[in-house]
Amino acid sequence: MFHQVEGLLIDEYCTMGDLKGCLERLARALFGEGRQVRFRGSYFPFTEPSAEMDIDCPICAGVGCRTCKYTGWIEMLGCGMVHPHVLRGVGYDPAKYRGFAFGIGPERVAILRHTIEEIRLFSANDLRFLKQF
Amino acid sequence: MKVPLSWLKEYVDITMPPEALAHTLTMAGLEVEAIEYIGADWGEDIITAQIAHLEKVAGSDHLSYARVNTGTEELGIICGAPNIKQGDKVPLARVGAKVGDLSIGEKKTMGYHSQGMLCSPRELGIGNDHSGIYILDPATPLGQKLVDVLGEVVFEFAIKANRGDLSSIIGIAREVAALTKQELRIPQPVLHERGRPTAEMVKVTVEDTDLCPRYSARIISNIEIGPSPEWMGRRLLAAGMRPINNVVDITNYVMLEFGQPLHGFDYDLVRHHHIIVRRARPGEEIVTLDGVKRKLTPDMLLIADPEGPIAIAGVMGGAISEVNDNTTTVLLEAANFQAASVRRTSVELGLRTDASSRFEKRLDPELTVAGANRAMQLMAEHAGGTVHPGVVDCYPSPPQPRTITFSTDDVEWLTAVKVTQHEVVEALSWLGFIVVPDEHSNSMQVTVPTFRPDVVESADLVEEVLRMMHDQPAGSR
Repeated sequence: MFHQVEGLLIDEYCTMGDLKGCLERLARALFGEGRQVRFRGSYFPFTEPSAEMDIDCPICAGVGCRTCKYTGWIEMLGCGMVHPHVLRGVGYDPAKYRGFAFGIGPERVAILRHTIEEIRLFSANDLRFLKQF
Repeated sequence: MKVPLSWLKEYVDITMPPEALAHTLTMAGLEVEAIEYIGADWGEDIITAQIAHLEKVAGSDHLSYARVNTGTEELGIICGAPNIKQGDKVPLARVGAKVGDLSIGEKKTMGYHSQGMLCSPRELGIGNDHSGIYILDPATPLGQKLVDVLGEVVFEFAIKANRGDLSSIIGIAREVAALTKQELRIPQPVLHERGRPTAEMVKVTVEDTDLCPRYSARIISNIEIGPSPEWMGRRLLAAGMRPINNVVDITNYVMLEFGQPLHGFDYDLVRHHHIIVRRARPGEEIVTLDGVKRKLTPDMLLIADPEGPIAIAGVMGGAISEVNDNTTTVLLEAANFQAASVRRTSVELGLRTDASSRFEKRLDPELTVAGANRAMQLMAEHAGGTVHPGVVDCYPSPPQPRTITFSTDDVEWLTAVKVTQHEVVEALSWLGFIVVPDEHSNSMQVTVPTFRPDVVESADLVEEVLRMMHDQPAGSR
């Protein structure tokens, strides 16, 4: 089973700078104003350029712990500028239109936000767990 | 993909500490998943020593008593390993050392004092072999901390599916060179070719060129199968491969180095000395190198001789023509197979190998001859053979290099980052693109190197420019 929250925006103006600004605000809204955010180059077939966004680990505040594999960073999501193939595929001219896209696993966000150690709890249908939210 | 840094340093100077390099590469999209420090737990008391004298322990069927020289003193050691002899240089764990969970103390056994322990590769954590003591290179100085001799830092990379070129140490070195502005050094083998020309010794027929764009073959004769040199075995182990014999090890070594999978056939076992690259026929079967009989289907590409299959293209060789202890002449295959076909065959057979996982990511057809020549050079050096003149090279339609019209505006359009023409030319040139800037505008013509089939249009080049700019230049808005 696999859940993903997707974001997609296409217009004549947006750039990777807007994507970054948007996702930084999202990270700080979810995990606190003081969060550090970084973007790493990556690869996804539907975006170009592509990146992954990391936040400084909310569990250890970036010092290094088991959750962040002692790197101080946690991978949050994948994102990028909509690939020209995708735009052409739906009849938009990539020289005129551009867009950004991102995808987040909601379980991952919940795990970090509520310090949940067991991902299987989400699908166990236990009301005691579910009623907490 | 595991890369020992000492191996990487053959092709590029590394100018920063391993952790800083890992960070630079990770931010540029070449993710370092883990850093392994081989030998970090050996401490001060595992050192290099030489066996000065060896005698059997009376009353024991396997123990011997060694006097070992550390350069400054001579110690007595009781040892049960069968493979050591006088003059061998070995790793010695002195009294006080810790070997894994074992603390080394002075012991008295059958009337002898033992003042330490000689270590096997498994005890040191650098291999699975526990059949004997690790024999060091004869040139190793005595009394050195072992970590200074055999210690290694190994990066484990997660290679993205679009970057087949990075499944090689030279490919990674090229990224390191570009990101740290260092020169890249690619081995240029010099071969001494003699004897009958390759083209007179073997015939290659590629029937299905759609699945095999290139097939290059070379021959080396009069070789002697034996163990590969110690340094090569150690590098292969650090990279996660088991040393087997000189010929097999060299094919693996060059695969890791250049990213070109190679396969060695025993030339004398290839019937009629004729290689045929074709799809399998209904009902055909092959016994692969691992001894398993596999049923083939007509969408699978085979290497065959006139009498039947001898390998599954890009996946695994067959047992019938395998290089063995009696092999004297090796027919070396360096081929390029279509990525989708190799992936499908590998999935259908449930057989994933180091070769298939590379072909699946699309390899540069220009690599075949470079890889074959490098392997010939190493085999001539370490298996002592005669390299026959020329390559039999079936390469009916080499791909035309792709040229993309690109401009600094393309970077700004997608990222809102302002860059100069000079910065773009610089960044792309470091990565191996050929860039001809327009003198009257901020545009340029960019020729894509054959090892970057993933770069097709301007958005791909924007990403390349962005990756080369370290400090996350795309500002947030």
